[in-house]
Amino acid sequence: MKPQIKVLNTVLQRLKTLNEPCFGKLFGIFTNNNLLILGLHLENDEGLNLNYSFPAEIDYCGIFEAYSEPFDQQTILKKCNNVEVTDNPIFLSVRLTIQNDIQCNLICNNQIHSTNYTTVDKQEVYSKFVHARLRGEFQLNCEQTEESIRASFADLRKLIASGMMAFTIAKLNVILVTNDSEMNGIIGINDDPAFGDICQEANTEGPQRKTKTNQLDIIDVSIMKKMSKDGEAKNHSPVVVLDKKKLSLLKIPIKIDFLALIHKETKLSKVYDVMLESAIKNLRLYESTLQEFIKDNNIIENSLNIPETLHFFPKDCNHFLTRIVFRQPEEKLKKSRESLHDILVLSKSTPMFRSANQYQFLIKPNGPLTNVHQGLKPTSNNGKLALVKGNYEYYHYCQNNMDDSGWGCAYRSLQTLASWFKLQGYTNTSVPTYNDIQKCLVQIGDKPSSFVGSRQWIGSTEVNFVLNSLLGVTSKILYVSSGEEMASKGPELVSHFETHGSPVMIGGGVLAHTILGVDYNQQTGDLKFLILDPHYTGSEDLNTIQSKGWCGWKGCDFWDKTAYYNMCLPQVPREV
Amino acid sequence: MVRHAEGDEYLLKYLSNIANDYKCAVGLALGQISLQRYNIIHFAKTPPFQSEQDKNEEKPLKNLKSIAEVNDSWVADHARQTTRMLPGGMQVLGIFVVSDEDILNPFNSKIKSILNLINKTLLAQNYLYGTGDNEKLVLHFSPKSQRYLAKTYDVVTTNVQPADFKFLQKNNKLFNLQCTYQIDHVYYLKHDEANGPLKKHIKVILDDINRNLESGIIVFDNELKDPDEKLENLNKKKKVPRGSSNKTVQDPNETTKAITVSIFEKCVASKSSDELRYSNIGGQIRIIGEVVCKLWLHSKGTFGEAVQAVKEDIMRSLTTRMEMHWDSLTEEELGEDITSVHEPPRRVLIALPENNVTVSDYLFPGEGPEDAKASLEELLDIKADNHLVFLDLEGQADITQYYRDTTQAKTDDSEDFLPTLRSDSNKLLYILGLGFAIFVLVISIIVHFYTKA
Repeated sequence: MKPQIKVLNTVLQRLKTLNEPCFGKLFGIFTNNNLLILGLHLENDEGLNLNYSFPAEIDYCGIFEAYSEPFDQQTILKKCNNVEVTDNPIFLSVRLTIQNDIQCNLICNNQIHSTNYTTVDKQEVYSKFVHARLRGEFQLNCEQTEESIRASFADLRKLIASGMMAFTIAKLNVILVTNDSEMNGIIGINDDPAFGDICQEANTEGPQRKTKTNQLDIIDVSIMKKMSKDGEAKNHSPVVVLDKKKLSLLKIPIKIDFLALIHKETKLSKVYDVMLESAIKNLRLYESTLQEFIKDNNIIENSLNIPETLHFFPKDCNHFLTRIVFRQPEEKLKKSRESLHDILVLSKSTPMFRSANQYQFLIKPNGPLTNVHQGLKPTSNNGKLALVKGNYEYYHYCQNNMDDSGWGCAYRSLQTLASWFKLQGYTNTSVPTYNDIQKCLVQIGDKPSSFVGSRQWIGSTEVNFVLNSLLGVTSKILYVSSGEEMASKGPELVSHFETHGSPVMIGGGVLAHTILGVDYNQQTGDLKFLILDPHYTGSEDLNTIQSKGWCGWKGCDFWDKTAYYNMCLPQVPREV
Repeated sequence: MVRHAEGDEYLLKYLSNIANDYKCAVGLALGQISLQRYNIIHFAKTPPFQSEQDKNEEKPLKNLKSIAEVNDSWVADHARQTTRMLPGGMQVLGIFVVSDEDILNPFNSKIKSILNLINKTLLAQNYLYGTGDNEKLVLHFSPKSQRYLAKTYDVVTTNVQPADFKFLQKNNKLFNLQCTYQIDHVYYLKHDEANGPLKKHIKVILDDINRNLESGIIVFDNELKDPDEKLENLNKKKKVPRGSSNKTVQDPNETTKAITVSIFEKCVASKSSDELRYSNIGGQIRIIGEVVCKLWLHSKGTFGEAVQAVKEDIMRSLTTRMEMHWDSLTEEELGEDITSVHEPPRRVLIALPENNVTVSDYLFPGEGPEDAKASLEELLDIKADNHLVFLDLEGQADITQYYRDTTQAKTDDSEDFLPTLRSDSNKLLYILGLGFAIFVLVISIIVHFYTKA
């Protein structure tokens, strides 16, 4: 039976941006009779291999080829030959000459057959899946040769696959063991429920179930080792083997931290094998990263910090991608990020794989709300819409039990701006506190030392100074002598949001606000502003914020005709 | 609060038998505490003490005439050695005294000093888990009146409390738990440590093993249990699981089936796990093998107690055999060859005749059941002529495999490729020879037919 093929929209969107002949791999997951294509990566000379970076269960399942001349069938078939997971690899052809027309083909018996596919979006995909995040530790000790490292990794993989491992899902009070013993390999539950069902139960048991947010379903699993033995086979009592051979040993601590994508209908007893795959994929990723690193760096003299495992969920991919990264000079890291953007066919205008871009597994329970403008009714201006790009946090009066009503609005606006830079991954610096801001202004000589701890307000100039010295961000300052003049700033603001996409702070003679976007009708010249108001003193309640207009669209009459204004437009570097 | 103590009737008979033979005797009360209740499993009379000098002069053994003559440290050492034999979850709960002296009213100071020294001795030893409750039981049996009385003495607060001792016709059932714990632990020596005392390193290894064990999850008959749940619920609550027909229908034999214990441990990286580095090591110590555990727990006991008992059993057994091994070494055996394999004694289990509880003895290579019987007789006062059930479950290692193993570990050096090469050429020779033989055979057959024709 031919599988039903579904393709995640981000894959298609990226294929649409190709403009030169090229080919690459497709990654997907099989469920029942469906093949869901979730990811891709371009084959190029840089030799980057992402096979082990996709979550377990997402496998190399086919190829894509962008062409202007008709493609050679034999080459395609040959390339498809190394797809191991299925006998019927997928081939997506992208015809550059007709606006990147995408056709889906299935390889059957060494023939290319055209087939249909449907497009799915993130919501549709992840409502059917749960992510399992496997964590654990291992210790490898080997000699300092490439061969010895390879052998130790191979041994460890063998050990893991030997059936000695067990996986505990603390939240469910379940231990999964290897299936060949009696029972179905599940300790803690008597039958074999669908994975999605029990995860659902576990998640709803919490004190309050968050109203469906953008957050993915993720469940934690940890690795354990079975120390006891079943069966009668007699081995021997403990002996002590003393070996006095002197050795130079490379000690490699391994932190397993990997994701797997599991369909909600998967039986719990099948999850054991998926977890094994996760662990093994993680080890392969670790090993290839390590071998690569050792090749380029002398680690015999210097000990190294263990590499960091980073999970990303870039919105232009909409699937997880795991990287293991050694501490290296920023230059090198940047280069490797650039090639990552290249092979994933992602725009290089904003960072996606900096450590600050990591997926946030823990949602802070009482933190500020993010992206509060989402879900607002659009304006009836019929103009060009240019909005903030990416995520920001809404900072406003009276947060953290601080009474800053009447003087803190520019500080709050500054914090919103800083949060945008942090959430976009441009900086690792946390959002500055009042104290940070005031200290910074004193340090750069803008304010006297008595300023720290005071309740003096700040303006756009100070916002600019602080962004510059704390985050290294430069800003453009726009000046208008009266509120009426704001009406003429449409083109400039549209251009800012389109090229930079950062939120804009506006202050001056009167109150400070944050501009999140504009709707500019070129024909009529009408301009609307999407305003985020820091003067809100209530609790983190999205409903109130939107319905009472603390975040909402305002006309030009919003600005005070008798006051002057300064706008601080943070300039965003185009880099990754 | 009056503490309760229970024991089977045969224990009372044991006491009166002692009373027939001795004027005064002291022994250990062995068993476990469950729900604050002392459950006595066995009484073991302390063998008569004889000083080295008397022994050398072959003087006859002197029996005790009064409690005052008891040698405290002799009894304490008896307690230490006996504790080594007990399965996890069982301890020396206190002592019994057979004597016509009135030792409990008032509470004899000699009893206090014996109990204090027992406690101190057992505390001194890591992982022996010999001291359960601070309140130690004292049972006094008077030969004249054939009556008995019990009290408890708290070794910390020195409080004396009355206790209610009952001998029951059929004492409570014990649940049997079984487990085989596998160890394969490698410890790397720092480059200057290779000649240091091995004993010290073993201590560190035992700490590691204990730490891992403490982090472990223990599962009973493949079920996760609440620590407060009672053991006796295990069979009751078992609903018929899918696929396994009527096997779980309660039958009287079913309950005597041992509960299988499984242990899962966290995998952990080494302590300095934030660095990836080269280090020069002076060698390695590897402990490999398995510890077979059989435990016996009161049916009113909880799974939480069972978890503790399993951990205690493994550590108690490991420490005991390591210690016995070091004690048996005449000199520090570190100075010699590159590799050496130490073979500590293995655990054998012997069922007590009165109940099925098994106690451990440790046999060195070359020792057999007779040696176990001897220690049973000496330490537990069990007559060797009884028919004993003797379980040798662990098995002896073929230590040559570890000599080979360690040489294999060195094969990264190029010269070590030689042996494999040689064996290959052997094979080649073999094949060549065989080929030649067949060739000759074929020729001779041809020649044979040819000449015939």
